[in-house]
Amino acid sequence: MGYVIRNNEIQVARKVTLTPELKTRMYQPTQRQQDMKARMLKRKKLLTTQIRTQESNAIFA
Amino acid sequence: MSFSRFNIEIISQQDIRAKFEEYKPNFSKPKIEEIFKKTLELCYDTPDTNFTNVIHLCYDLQEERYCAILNIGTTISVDDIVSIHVEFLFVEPDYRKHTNEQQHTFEELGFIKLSEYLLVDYVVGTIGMSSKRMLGIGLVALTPVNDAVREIYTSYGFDSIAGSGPNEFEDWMIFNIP
Repeated sequence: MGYVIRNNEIQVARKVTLTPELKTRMYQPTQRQQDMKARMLKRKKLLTTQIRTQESNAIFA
Repeated sequence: MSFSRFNIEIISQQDIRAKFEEYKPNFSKPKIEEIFKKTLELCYDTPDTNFTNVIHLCYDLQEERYCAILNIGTTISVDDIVSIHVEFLFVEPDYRKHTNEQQHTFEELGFIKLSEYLLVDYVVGTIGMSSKRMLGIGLVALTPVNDAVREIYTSYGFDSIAGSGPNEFEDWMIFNIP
């Protein structure tokens, strides 16, 4: 279940069935989604490296 | 999961009431508080959904305080196929404020907003990619609380499925885990 606020009322999002066209689109990652994944993985790698560097510095400090 | 400053805790059902006695979220709008109460009802009082809803709390190790709530579960509301469902996301107001018209970003997260980290890095990147690999669940689905939030989630890569809701305000947004 999901909720939305409209006209100061909480409404429950209802179950939906997709048309064949929407189904096709739904199961294909968009270019934006692929870009976001690439950026996220790059961030993760960078931050992990930074954490490891900080840990190494702490060990040798 | 921790990126040096932020730590995400998964709260067990038995601990959750005590946890929210300790942490009082600063809901800036009464309706958000109502939605939060409903999301807790889903976790405690609704037998057919409570096993698929899990509360995650984000803790700021630097400020030593909780700063965000996520309720993550599963749904079959979108096309009768299991998707990871972000039922509720709340970020404390002072972690999303805009200063000098700049987005409130965190160096420790690679200069992104906390909500982007929670939705993209944590839900899609950590939970989603594992779920896809191990269980074959390939979608993250959510329904934004309003149009302004829909715009923000669009910038994170979530795609509105036009016509998927009973009206345009209730259209689902999905992120197909690449």
